[in-house]
Amino acid sequence: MQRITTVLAVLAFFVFGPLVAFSADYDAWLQAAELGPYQPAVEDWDAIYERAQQEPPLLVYAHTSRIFDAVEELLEDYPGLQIEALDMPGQEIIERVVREWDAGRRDIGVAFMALPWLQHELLLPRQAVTRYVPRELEARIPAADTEPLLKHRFSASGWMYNDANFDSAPWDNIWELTTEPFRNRVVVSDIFGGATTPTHFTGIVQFSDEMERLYEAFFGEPIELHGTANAGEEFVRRLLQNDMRVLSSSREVAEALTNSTGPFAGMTVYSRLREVADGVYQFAVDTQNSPVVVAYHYISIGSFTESPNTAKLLVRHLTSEEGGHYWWGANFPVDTSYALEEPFTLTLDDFEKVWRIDADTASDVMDRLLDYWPIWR
Amino acid sequence: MKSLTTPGPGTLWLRRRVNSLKLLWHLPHRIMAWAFILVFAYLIVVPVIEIVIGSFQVRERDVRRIGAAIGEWTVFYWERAFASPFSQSIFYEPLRNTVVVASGYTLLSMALGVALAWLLVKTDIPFKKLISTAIIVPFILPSWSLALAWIAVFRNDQIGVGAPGFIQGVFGYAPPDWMTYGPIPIIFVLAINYAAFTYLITAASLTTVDAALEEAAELKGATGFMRFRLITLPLILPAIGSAFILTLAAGLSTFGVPAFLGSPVNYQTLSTSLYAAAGAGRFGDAYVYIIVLIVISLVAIYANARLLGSRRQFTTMTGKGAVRKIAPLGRWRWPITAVVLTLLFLGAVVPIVMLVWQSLQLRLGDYSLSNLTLAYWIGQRGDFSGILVEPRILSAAWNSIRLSVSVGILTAFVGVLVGYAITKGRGSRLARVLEQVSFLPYLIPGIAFGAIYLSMWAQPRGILPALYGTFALLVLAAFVNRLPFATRTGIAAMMQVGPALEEAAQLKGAGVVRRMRSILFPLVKGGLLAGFILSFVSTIKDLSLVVLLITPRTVVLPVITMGFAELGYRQLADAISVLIIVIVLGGTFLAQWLTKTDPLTGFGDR
Repeated sequence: MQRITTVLAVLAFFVFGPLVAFSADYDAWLQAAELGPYQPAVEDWDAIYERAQQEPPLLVYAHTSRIFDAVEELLEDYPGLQIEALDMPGQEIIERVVREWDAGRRDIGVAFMALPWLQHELLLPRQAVTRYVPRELEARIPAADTEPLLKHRFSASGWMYNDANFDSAPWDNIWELTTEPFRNRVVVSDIFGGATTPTHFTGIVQFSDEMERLYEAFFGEPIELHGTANAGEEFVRRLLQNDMRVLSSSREVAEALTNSTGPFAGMTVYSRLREVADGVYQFAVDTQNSPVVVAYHYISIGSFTESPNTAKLLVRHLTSEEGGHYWWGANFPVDTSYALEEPFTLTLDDFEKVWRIDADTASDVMDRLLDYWPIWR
Repeated sequence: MKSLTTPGPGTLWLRRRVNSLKLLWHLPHRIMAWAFILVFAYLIVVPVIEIVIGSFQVRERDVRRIGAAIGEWTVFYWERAFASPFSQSIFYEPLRNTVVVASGYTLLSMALGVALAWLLVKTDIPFKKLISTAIIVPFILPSWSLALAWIAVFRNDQIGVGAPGFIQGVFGYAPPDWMTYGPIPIIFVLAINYAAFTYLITAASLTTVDAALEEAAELKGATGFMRFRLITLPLILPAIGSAFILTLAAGLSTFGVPAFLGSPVNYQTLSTSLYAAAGAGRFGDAYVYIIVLIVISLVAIYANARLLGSRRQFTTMTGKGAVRKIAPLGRWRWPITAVVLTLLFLGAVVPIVMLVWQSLQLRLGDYSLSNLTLAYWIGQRGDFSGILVEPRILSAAWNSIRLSVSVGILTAFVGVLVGYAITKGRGSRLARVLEQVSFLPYLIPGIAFGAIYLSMWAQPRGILPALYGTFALLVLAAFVNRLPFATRTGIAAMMQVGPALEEAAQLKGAGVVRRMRSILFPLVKGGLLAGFILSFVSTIKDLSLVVLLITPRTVVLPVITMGFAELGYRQLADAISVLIIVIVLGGTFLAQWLTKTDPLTGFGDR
């Protein structure tokens, strides 16, 4: 018996030893970086800047090309900081951070991207990224938007129509898009070609109860499922069965909307309206009859970075009204008091049906959609 | 009692070993083959093993989907592909489509490539310089730009983006859907895209065909076509075989063209399924596709080797001086020229003009003159500076040049050496293994290769330092990934070099290095250059391989293009594509000028 206990103890030492050691290391790092429980109630930004100037270059992984200009603006105010940024698709950032982490590297300084469900699933269990909310921001925004990581902004995807042909969306109920008049007259980008379509339809499935209610309101009878699990999936299946055009990119969706005549619908991200303002495309977002699916971007600090103070300055800058102006408008800031940039004047309150993605179940929902999409098509 | 002068069995054994070692030194291809196999085993086989094992292990993302712990053994991914309710749509249908498309574009592009090579090397077709340059342009262009150009010409107002294309706009005739999307356009566009492979490799080998052989046939009364079929074709068959493998595999693993031209009509191929899986982080599924693609290609390589191995090896470089003879095209000269120029105009000029024009449009899609601007080149538009005044883009351009030139040179030389080891040992198992191993990286999609290299090199391995984050790792990964281009061209070139020259040098006491430097490399300059160009071009365009390995200091152009395209700043993305084309053309000319070699003539200064 004693022998077994010894063996178990030795095993436990090898299995849990590293974990204990890890959390001890992590705690020490948090303490040194004044993060987590060690974040002071009032942050002394002069001291943070002072320390940041001694730090090695901060490595930023971001899924946005605007990061470079935003960083440059910060450096004008805070000369002496060293920041290097990379713009990569979110999926690649996650793959990269996971592989780096598992190989024992602690390179990442700031992670700035969407796909919160993958971050929950792959980054948080590793403690590869650490939550950080500048105190002054924390006081102004809902606590829910700071857990488990700080949300930087909300992005919306919704249904668009050509406003040169119609004053308002040429449908009263989203289910109308699955009917004969809209055969071959609905466009989306491929579910396998970028995050927009999978994210939007994941939101639709997560709000299946709502979809069921809308179905009954439109057809006047309970929904009948054909090999699908819920009303959301049934909606996707029926769109595909109704010869929905699946294009390769969201740019083509915008183009198709612009060229359309008669009743026509396209799903794309709200920020595409930037090009409408530029005069390149012609369409408007339906705020009344269709749901808008809202997802979000997290911003967090890479655990064990040697440049935590530079990271804090960057996070504070990017989440401020001024420093984040590249995104406010096309996306919605967490602090709703921020001014939005033209041509974007809508806030999320202006939409009738705002469906917020639930990151905890999104992965499973999306996996099923990706599996069944080719079959339903 | 043993005589003192007679060596004992032990001594004899030793002497034999010493002798065979001496012999090995004089026949270095075996040492080289072993050395390459060892190095490649590490650089290539390790990733392949990870892929094979990975396809049988539960991945972190699929823990809930499969209901088992990470790393546990599973046949989930294989079952999903081969025997699940999803198999038809995610595997068998793409497989069928892949076979159709691959047969189509391989045949078409090889016919195009051989015809063009023959016309340029063996006939008096005019504008040779122009044509030989224009042929590689479709290969340089980003493949999506060819696909988009096709759509712009053939679309009708009922499908896709719903706008009439060029044909409908001008002639009022709406082309049927199958001309816009699906297998036919995919086959055509891929064929145009990859005709450069066959052209480059075949042209290099055609130049070395001694006209004396053809003249002999002519004296015997053979007609033009008979001479081609009986003399020229068999001589260039090894080159065609290499081109076949390269073209087939290039199309098997390409993503852009089938995605743009297939996805709107739900026409999936294994490569679109593979990228869809990898793009969604489903590496378990992706690994299964990779293995299937590897198996398909190995079968093709095997068939190819059987076909060529069973034939006699034709030596065309005998060192005795070959005569090139130009056949007059006669009354067909101008009609054929017109066809070739039209093809090249559509495949090379139109897409480039579209790219340049779009990069000059203030508002995309507005083709009026008042809409022209240089803002995306040297000005400022929205939040972004023009590409020629943005330091970040200029430094990326420099990185792209550094990377693709180093990779091009490295692969070209190693390719010839591998080609030497393989052709000298042709028929031996060693040579076959080396040939197949050096081909594997071609079939591993860049993103998976990059991911595996990230894990492999994140930490020091044995005596090897951690390369992660260094420029050297980019070079290494791209080198290994492009190796197949160079080994194929190396094999094609080496198969024509007769042993006599080298043997003569050997008799005169020339060592291996001397023989390589003074005889082999000069003889295969054309092949070297073809290998350089192929890997140089494909490296500078590549995105998926490097995206996981770059650092802020080693960012390359395609990474930036992607960011702009995603934002909808197509003009900036197009301007960068034009910049890449300029760099590639510049690099190609420079390489030709420096080596005084033209892939067309193979031996410019002889």
